[in-house]
Amino acid sequence: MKVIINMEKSNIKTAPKLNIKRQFCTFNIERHFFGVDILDVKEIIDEIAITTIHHSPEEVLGFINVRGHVHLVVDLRTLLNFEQKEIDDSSRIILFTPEVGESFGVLVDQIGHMVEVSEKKIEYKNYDEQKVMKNKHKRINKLEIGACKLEEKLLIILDSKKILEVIRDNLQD
Amino acid sequence: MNFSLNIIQKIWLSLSVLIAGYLTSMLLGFASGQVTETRLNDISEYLFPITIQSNKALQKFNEQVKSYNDAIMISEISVLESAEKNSLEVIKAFKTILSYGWLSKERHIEIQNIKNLFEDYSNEANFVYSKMCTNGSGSMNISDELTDRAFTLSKKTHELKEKIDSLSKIFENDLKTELKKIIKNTKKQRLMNLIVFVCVVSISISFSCFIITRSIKEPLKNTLSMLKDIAEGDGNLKARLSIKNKDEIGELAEWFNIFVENIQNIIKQIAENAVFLNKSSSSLQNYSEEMTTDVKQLTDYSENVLNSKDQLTNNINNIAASAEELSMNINSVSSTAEQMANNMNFVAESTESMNISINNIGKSVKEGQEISAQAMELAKNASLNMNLLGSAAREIGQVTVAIKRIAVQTNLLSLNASIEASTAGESGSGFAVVAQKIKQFASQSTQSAENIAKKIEDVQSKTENAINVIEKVTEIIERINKSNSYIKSTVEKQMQKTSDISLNISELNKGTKLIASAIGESALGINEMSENTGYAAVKTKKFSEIIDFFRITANKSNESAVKVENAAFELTEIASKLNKMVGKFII
Repeated sequence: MKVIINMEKSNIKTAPKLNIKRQFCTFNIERHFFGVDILDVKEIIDEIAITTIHHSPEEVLGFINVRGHVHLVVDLRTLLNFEQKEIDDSSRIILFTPEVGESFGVLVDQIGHMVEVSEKKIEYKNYDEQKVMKNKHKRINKLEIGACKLEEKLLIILDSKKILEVIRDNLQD
Repeated sequence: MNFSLNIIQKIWLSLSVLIAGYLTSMLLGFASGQVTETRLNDISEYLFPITIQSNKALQKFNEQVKSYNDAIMISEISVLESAEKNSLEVIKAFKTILSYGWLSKERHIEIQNIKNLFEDYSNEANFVYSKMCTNGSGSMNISDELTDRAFTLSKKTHELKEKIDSLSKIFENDLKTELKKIIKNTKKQRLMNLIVFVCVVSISISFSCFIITRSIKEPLKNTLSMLKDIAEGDGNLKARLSIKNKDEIGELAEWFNIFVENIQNIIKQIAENAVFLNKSSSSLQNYSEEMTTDVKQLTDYSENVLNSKDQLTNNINNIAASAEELSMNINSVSSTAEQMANNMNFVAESTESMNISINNIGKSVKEGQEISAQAMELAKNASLNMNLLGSAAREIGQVTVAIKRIAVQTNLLSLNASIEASTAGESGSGFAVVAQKIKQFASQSTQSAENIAKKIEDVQSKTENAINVIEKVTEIIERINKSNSYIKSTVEKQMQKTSDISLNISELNKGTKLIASAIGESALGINEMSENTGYAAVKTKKFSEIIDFFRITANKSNESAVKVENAAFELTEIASKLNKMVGKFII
C-alpha cells in the first residue's frame, strides 16, 4: 500500500510536467458536475443506513456501517452551500481511503463515471489565503482546486483531503 | 286744408260762391235803384204837381192882375168877376200845394203866408177895384183914400207877384236840383254797381279757383305724379299713394293702394308660381323627353313584335304539326301501354319468385342468429385470454425492475472495480478494461430492461384496447342478434306482403288495360287539340292585325310625344320669360 501511495504522490507531483492523464471519480450535486481524484476513493456504496450523531456539526450526517467498519458520513451539499435533500434511490456514498483522512465518506446525489482527463486540460485555481472572505466562501474556495472543460460540461475538481480540515476550521470558527 | 267734401260738393261750393257774389252785387244795385226810385216817386207825386200848381197860381195871378187892370181901364164890373174867378183858382192852387204834406214846415208857413197875403190882397183888390169901377165911371171924383189904397194895392200886387214868382222859381229850382241829383246819383250808382260787381265776382272767382286748385287739382296732380312714377318706374309695387284726403281722390288713392297691394300679392304668387312653373316645366320637358324615348322604344318594340308575329304564326303552325305528331306518339303510347300490361304479367311472376327468395332469406337469417351467438361466446373467451395476457405482462414488468436493479448494482460494482484497478496502477489496467466492459454491459442491460419495460407497457395498453374492442364487438354481435330477430319478423311480414303484392299486381294489370283504352281516348282529345291549334293560328292572325294597329297608334303617340316635348320646351321658355318679367317687379 505504501508503495502505491508513493506512486500516487510522485504522480501528482510530476503531473504538470509529464503529459500524463488523471482519473477522476465524478458525481452530481444539483446540476453541478464534481470530481475527486480516483486514487483517494476507496469504494462507492449504495446501501445507505445512516446512524445520526447528536450534537454533531450540521455537515456531519452520522455513521454508517460498511462490512463491520464504521465510517463518518459528511453531507457534501451542506458543505458546498446547497440546500439539504432527502436520500433517494440515486443517492450514493463515496468512501475515501485512510490516506485522505479518518475513515469517512461523503453523500452525493448521483454517482457518475470514471473520467480520464489529461493534465494539460486542468485549470488550477490560485489559492489566496490572504483574501478576506466569508466562511462559506472560504470553505468552498479551499475545497475547489480547479476545473476542467469536458465536451459537454464543466468538471469541478474537489480536494478530498481538505474536507475534514474545512469541517475542523468551521468548528474552530 | 282738408275738405271733407267730395268733388261735386266742392264744385257746387265754388259755384255757390260765384252766385252769392253775383247776388250780392245785384242786391247792392237794387238797393241803390230803390233809393232813386223813391226820389223819382217823390218828384212825380209831389214836386212836379207843386211846381205846376205854383206856375198855375202865378199865371192866374197874372191874369187876375190883368183883369184888374182891364177892369180899371174899362171900368166894368164884369171883368172883376173873372178876376175873382182867377183869384179863387190861385187860392185853390195854393190849397192844393198846401195839401201835399211833402213840403218842409218853413216852406209850408211861407206858402200859407203867401196864401193869406193873397187872400187879403184879393179881397182888398176886389173891393178897391169894384169901387173904382163904380165911382170912376165918367167922373173923376175918386177920393184920395181910394187912390192911396189903389196905390198900396198895386204895391202889394208887385210884392205878391214877386213872391209867387219866387215861389214858383224856387220850386222849379227844387225840381231841377232834384232831377240833377237823381241823374248824378244814378250815374254814381251805375259806376258803384260796376265796381262792386267786378270786385265781388273777381273775389268769388278767385275763391272758387282757390278751392278747386287746393282741393281738386293738387291732389290730382300728386296722384298723377305718383301714378306716373309707378307706371314709368321700375315696377316698384311696394310704392303706395300717400294721399289722405277724404274725398274721392283719397278714396281713389286708397282703392288704388288696395289694388296695387292685390297686384303685389298676385305678382308674388305669380313669381312663386313662375318659379314652380319653371321647375315643373323643366321636369315636364324631361318627362316628355323620357316619354318620347319610351314611345320610340315602344314603336321599336311594336315593330319587333310585328317581326316576331310572323315567327309566332310559324310557331303556331309548328305547334299544329307537333300536335299531329303528338297524336301519333299517343298512339304509340297506347301500344306501349299494352306492352306494359304484358310487362305487368311478367312482374306478377317475378313477385312470386321474390316470395320464394324471401323465404330463403328467412332461413339465412336464422343461421346468422346462431352464428352470432357463437361469435359472442368466442369474444368472451378472447377477453378472458386478454386479461390473462395483461397480468402476465405485469409480472414481466416486475422482472424488469429486478433486472434494472441488478444492472445498477453491476454498474456500481464495475465502478468500484475500476477504482480498484486504478489504485492497482499499471498492473490493474487489464482489470480496468474488464471493469469497463462490465460497466458497458450493465448500462446495456439497463437500457434493454427499460426497453422491455416500455414494451410491456405497450403490450398492457394494447391488451386493454383489445379488451375494449372485444367488448364493443360483443355489443355489436348482440345488436346483430337483435336485428336478426327483427329481420326475421320483418321477413315473415314481407312474405305476407309479397303475396298481397302479387294479388295487387293482377288488379294493376287490369288497370293498365284500362289506361291503354284511356290513352286511346286521349289520342282523340289530342286530335281536337290540333284542330284548336288551327283555330289559334287564325286568332294569331287577328292578333297580328291588332299589333299592326298598335304599332300605328304607337307611331301616332310618338308624334304626339314629340309635340308634347316641343310644347314642354315652349312652356319652359315661357316660364323662364315669365320668371324674368316677374323678376322685374320689386315685391
